[in-house]
Amino acid sequence: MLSLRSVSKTYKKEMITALDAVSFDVRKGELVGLLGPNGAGKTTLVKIVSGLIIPDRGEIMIDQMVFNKENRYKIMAKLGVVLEGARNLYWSLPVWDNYFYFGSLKGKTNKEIKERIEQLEALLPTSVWKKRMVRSLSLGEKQRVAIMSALLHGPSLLLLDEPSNGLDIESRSILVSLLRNLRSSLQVTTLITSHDVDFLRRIVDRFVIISHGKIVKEVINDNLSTEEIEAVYLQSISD
Amino acid sequence: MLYLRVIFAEIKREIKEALTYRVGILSDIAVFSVLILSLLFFRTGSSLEDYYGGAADAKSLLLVGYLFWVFSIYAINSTSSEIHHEALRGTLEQKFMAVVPIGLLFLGKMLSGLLISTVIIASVTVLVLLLTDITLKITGLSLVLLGINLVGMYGLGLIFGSIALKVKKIGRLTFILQILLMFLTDTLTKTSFSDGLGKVIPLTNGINLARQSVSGLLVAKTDLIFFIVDSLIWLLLGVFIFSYAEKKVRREGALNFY
Repeated sequence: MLSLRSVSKTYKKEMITALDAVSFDVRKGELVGLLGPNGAGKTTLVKIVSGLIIPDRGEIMIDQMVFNKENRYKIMAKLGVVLEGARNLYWSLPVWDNYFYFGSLKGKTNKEIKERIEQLEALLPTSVWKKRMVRSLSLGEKQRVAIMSALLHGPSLLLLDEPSNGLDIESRSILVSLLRNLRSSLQVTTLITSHDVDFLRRIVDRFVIISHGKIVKEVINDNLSTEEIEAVYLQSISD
Repeated sequence: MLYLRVIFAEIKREIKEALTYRVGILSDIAVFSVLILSLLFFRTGSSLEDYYGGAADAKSLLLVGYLFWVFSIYAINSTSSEIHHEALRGTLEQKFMAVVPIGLLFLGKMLSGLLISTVIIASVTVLVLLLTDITLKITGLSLVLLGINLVGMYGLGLIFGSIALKVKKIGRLTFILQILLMFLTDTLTKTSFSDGLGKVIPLTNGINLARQSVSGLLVAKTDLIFFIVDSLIWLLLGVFIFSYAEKKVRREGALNFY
């Protein structure tokens, strides 16, 4: 579903190599956690896959389409992206107005968006906030609204950048349940970035560990404990 | 249909957002009303009547220039300031991930800005007409000229939008531009600049031709053609520069860096 081959990116002004020949795959239906410390290149990678940053080198394939100028809008229709901080919502508008707007940016009609909200209501109940301004919601609630916005057009690939940041224990727990349910019901291929080992451990099939812009290890999440994963993670990034 | 639907969604969202900031709209009406009333009180542009020598008096000619100027600054702000606001909010990146070109979304912004600014400017105009003895003759041609003017000023807005994408904070720069436009484009009174380099700015031509029209004077075809071509060039320039800036910023990875 997602394939990166030798993707590199250097921020020339700051002389920082954010990604250095990164290659990995995410198979269809998989939920992969991109685990790494701050500054490892996680957000840069998400933004490159989202088309927000142009890489210096390398190739990205999404659903067997090479990400280039010709395929850009077809790929955008397949992507659902939630960037860090749930800032990508209009806080001065009600929740459903945000849904209709962002759904329309992905080419959906109001009727299709409404049907989709109803379909997802059992998994992601947000209708109770229908007319509430986004700014009146808690961070965890905003995060759920942002995820719903990203799912309205039925994406093939969902990208979540640090979705657990700033969430309290209860909100994190709700998010974990939500992502598990989404994965089992919708089977959306998902890539989640985080530095939170415990959060990722509960939901992902596989860890891809990134450090200083390089993929250092891939680990199958085979009922490993947080401590075991942390040990592998810390060993990998120190090597 | 997709393109129209997205433009309409952008217009709808912008208007809904504007309505949540009703106080902002009211304060704009107040500020623009006080400004024009002050200019009228101090008899700014009193030489305009002699210059145009037609049926319209100095006050109505000043009002025409002023209205063109206000519409123009709204057209510029619909891209330049809005890019800054969207980037601060984090919604600019979502727009760049739409299934349509980003230019369409900014077209929607401009159209919604036009609707909102029309309400504001119409309110200012009615207030001014009620409080003064001005008789404003709006001709069909003057409205067409306004439209052509806005095409060109939208292009200028895109250029400033490109600067906003790159350097982010351009509030002061936009303010300086607005003041410069007021003084260099015959908004208030005829200047020597407008006969020279000022002619390149669509607003200068727009104001001049509109004043001729409301004065009952004949608008020369060559002047009209020059105005149309000039506005289109600014629009194309704006589209080209914005497209280049967008690509450059994405290459630098700086779309949302603040």
